[in-house]
Amino acid sequence: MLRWLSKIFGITKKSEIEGKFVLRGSDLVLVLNRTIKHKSMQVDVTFSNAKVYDINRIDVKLGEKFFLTTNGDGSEDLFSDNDPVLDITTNGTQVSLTASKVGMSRLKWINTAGTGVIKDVVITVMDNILPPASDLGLTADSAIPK
Amino acid sequence: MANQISVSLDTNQRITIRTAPNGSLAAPLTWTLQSGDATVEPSADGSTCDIVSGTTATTAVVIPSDGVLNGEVDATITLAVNQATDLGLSADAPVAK
Repeated sequence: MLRWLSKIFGITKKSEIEGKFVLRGSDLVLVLNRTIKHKSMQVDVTFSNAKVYDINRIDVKLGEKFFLTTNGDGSEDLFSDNDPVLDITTNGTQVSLTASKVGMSRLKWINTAGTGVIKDVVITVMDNILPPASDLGLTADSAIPK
Repeated sequence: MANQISVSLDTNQRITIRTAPNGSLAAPLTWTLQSGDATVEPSADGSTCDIVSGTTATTAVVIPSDGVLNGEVDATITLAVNQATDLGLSADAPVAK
């Protein structure tokens, strides 16, 4: 039981489980007294020239190829809500992506039991990624009466 | 660099300042009157700003910022506001009573 709860919810100690078994109809149900947070997962991104750890949101240029790596066990299910934006190939804990269309896609990893989202990452595909402005290019029109 | 401009107008005038940043902004520009008695009227997206002179001839300084720019870039608009010498009178075409 502890191993099962640990895998799904990240519980590691018996003391973290407080509750009782209740008979509901013909089902024996374990009612826990506390709210359990789903175990979170880390996702790292690797580009051709950089690796960034523990991401939640990234912007990438159209056409960019990159990889996501999770610290899960590879049994999690991955879903995205805007497929045309990204070409996605999953292989265990590694995900290969190509930014194929301008737009935004949210990737969600669901735990093995299918009971909760353990990580979501928002990826925005843009025509271009501009560096921060250093020059505002200020100009003034001609003065006119108020 | 066009982060600093100086313009001249009188107390009866207003002027539109436009921007064309050479990169991304952290947030839409905000426009702050640092000194003088002019008023600032930014556009909804912050990309332009009308500056309306006040009633006194003085120097007005307006600072545009995206929350990051002013830390490293000194973006400033300086207005030399002069007392109006022209009332700007004009007449429409006469019309029948």
